Amino acid sequence: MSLAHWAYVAMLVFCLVGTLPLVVLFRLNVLREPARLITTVLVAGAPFLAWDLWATHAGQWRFDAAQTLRWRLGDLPLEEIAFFVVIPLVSILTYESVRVVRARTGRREVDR
Amino acid sequence: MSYTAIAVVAVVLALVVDRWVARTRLTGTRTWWSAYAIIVFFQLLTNGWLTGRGIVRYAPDAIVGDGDIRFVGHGRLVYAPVEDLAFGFALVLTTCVVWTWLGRREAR
Repeated sequence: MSLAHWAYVAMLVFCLVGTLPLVVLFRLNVLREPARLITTVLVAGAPFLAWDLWATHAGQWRFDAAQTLRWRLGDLPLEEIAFFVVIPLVSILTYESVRVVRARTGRREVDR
Repeated sequence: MSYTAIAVVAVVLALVVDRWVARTRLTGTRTWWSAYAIIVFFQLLTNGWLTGRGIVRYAPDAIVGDGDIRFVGHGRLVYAPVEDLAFGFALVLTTCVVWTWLGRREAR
């Protein structure tokens, strides 16, 4: 397997490397609420994963075998499944960080 | 249905869930829009990598663009079909809505 096969993995790693430090930086409790986090990923991610499975099956888009790892679920590479875990996670981390910053500066709406 | 049509439906559904189903109303807060602004910047960056390199390739008849993978133009923005922005918006909003809704339930 050549380096090119890791191209999609690299993008996911970039997302995590960029956002996981926010947990420490803003003392986020996101990872201390595993049930809430896992439920969110499953509930929010499932319809999009289903859409993705359908769209690849219908041929609306496809993944380059030379730039993804070998494992597949239907027509999706493993990385695309991981995408629906990574993107919800980084979205929550970003959203919670913004909430912390806005609370510190006293600009948070009554949005809890 | 084309990717374009489904993407529009997904955005509408996500807004409906935020406004009237979960009643989280995140799209009425500056906090969520600020977070989304940051996320969409990085989406363009990372999705540009996926689409510009051809890790993901789209059927021309499913998108508003054509077979041309341009930086901007031909229905593309930073190499990605514009439909991906709708996909990302719906995914990020739905995620934050579910997360917030679950948090409010726990708080009760």
